[in-house]
Amino acid sequence: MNTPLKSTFYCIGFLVILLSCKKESKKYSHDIGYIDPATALGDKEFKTCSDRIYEYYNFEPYAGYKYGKRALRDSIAKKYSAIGNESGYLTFRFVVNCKGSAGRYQIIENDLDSKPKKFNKELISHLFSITQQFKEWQPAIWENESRDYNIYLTYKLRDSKIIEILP
Amino acid sequence: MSIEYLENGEKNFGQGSPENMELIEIAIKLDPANAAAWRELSVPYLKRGIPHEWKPLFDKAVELDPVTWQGWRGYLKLFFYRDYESAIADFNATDTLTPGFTDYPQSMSVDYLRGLAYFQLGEEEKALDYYTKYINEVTTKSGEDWVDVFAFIHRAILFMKLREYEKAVVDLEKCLKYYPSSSDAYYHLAMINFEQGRKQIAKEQIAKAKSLFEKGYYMHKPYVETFGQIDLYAIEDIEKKVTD
Repeated sequence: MNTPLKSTFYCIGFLVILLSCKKESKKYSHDIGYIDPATALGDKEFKTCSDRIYEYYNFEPYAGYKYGKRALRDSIAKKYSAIGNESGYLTFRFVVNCKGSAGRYQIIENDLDSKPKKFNKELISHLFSITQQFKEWQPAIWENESRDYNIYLTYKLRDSKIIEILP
Repeated sequence: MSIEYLENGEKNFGQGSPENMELIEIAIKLDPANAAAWRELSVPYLKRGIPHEWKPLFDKAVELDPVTWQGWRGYLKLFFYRDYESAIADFNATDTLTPGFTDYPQSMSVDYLRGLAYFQLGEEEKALDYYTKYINEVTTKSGEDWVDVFAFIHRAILFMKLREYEKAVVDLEKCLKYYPSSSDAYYHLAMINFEQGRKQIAKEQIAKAKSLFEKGYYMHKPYVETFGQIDLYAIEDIEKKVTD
């Protein structure tokens, strides 16, 4: 293939890719797991320090609850009382800002087969309240600067009994 | 071409970013049977706590290439979703898919993984059989020094539950033979010695466990809490008991 023809071929190829990317961009306008502040739950005054939100697992050691998973688990066990007879994965995704405060919550409800379902509203509200009571989160440091990050807590329930707390 | 798009998406853009996802989608459009692309598309949902988006994508990868992905799905069900029965079903399927070959999803033997799942289900006998099958197989084929040291920790935890302390000590010491900086091994040895009234030894061991833990030498996994994971508060609990 001669050079001008080759260039034209590549240009067309590039345009096709660009156009198909543009078409798809509606499907992915943000990173997976982005929580829209306009629809998020919790304190409306909650602010992040930057627009770049990392993930809890981008740091070593991982960012998370300041006093560790066991303390988190013990505290939940003390506060939780079963409501209804629900089974599934009830997930609270949220943002921890550079000051270690949590906000911008999103709730995801699934059955034990990871299919969407609706949980008892009272149960959601009870677990949401417990989740929001955890105020002290580890700041995530990268290049000497504290960063905002996404994290989640999933309550795995069987007959409204918490059988696991993930991740 | 599909593989090139997938590689471009993986190498050049952050996982789960719009650019990364779009390139993987193109890879799938070009070759809907590209199992690795379906799997890659699922990963950010897995890591970010969005199970209903993760599962159908990963299931598609398994449907297209069960030999590669079914054992791997079992690993994810075990660690990310604590779905023990379903994980065991996937591990068992690998026996049929690859007869005479032990699969190692995420570098862990399906036998070791089955041991962990059965332990969580409270089926200690089966857990012990699978841990031992794994340890013996590696020891016979490649030598004991090739066994994952954490398998010794997990089998020791099981022996401790059965109150078979001598066997637990053998495994914990074996772990220390190959990984002398294991905070977990010292932590569990301290527990056993405290239980059996040897406070002074327990005190020395828990001090070692704490110092090694603070240096990061403890059993943990990417993204999720592992089974039997210790933390500083658990160590300090024993520390208080031995100094009382």
